Amino acid sequence: MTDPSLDLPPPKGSPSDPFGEGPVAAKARRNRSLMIAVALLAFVALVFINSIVKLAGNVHHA
Amino acid sequence: MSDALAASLPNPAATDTTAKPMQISPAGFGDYLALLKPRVMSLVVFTALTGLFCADQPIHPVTAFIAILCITVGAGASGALNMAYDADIDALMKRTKNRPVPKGLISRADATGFGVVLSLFSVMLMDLAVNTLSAAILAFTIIFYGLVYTVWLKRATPQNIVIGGAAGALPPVLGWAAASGHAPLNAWLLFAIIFIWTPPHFWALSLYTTTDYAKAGVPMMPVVKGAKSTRRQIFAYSIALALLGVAPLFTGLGGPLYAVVSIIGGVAFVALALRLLLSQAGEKTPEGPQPKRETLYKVAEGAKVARDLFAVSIFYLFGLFAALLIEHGVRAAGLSGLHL
Repeated sequence: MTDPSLDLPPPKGSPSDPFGEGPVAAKARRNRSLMIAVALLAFVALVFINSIVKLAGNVHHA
Repeated sequence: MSDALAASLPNPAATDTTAKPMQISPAGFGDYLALLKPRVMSLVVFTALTGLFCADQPIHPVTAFIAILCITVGAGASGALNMAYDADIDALMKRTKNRPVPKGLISRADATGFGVVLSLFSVMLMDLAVNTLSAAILAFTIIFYGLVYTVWLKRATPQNIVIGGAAGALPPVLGWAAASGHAPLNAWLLFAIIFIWTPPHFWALSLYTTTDYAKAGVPMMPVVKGAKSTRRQIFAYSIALALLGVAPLFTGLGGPLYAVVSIIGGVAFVALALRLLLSQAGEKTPEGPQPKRETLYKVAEGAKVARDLFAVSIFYLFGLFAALLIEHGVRAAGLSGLHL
């Protein structure tokens, strides 16, 4: 069923490649998604490590 | 449903079913990395690290790493914003036409989004992990470069890189503020050295790339005021820079190594600027012989003095900051072991 409020028409490609992006673009998209995931994980890890460092500093000062 | 709300919704009958299919970008990791201007980032890291060491304050290595990372990412983010906005003029210049946005690999909207997200993350993490002063200076730097310089100054005035140079001069202040929580006079002295270094550096480059800038409509100094006026101004800035370069010797910031580098480097810089002043660099000359190997810009015989000054200016700044980094790095290592 088509949602008329969408700006774009529904994809017309095959189920395995609905947008007809081709193998090169699909690989680039997968790599970009992977990099975003890695960057977000790194950000979480940095915030966690920083929290530990600050807590440890406070313990030393107490 | 009100009339206003009804009018704001799309009309199903008018939906464009012939719209082009969604464009999937072929851009990879390398293209997004190029968007961050890695070479500029490396200079930012180096000068920020120098500021961080020059503060001579103990800072946990993890905090120091996060500070440098945030400064690096923030610099990259402002580079992405710059490339997104300048795609039209980048496409017209040899040096920049292969950047990801003018090449069509990344859309302007994607580059802008990338820059904004990285800016927010870097400033937020700087505030959380380091301190509010460094986060505030980082935010100012990104806004100044991404908006004030890129959107306004670059296309409006031949003083674009003079005023805009403030953004590139702030990383040592950022590093200093990250380490100590404040920005004393010595930090601003490092800022002033890069600020005064920027015009002779970029104008020397623009003396042999004038046609490119003129084609793109960027009002660089040689395009607007001519080569002779530019050479005069380069010389004046070079004298100011050589004097400013030795100032850290009198404020306790520079030691013996810095004295040697700043004095020899300053004399060499002024000598090259004088040679440039007396030359015809940047003037229209008959086409010379073709270079033997493929180069980005064909440097006219008379403009080679400008290229020499451009090259030496990089070594000069690197030398000054490397000397400070070594002197303060050795002192920090001797004082507190693992802590910087």
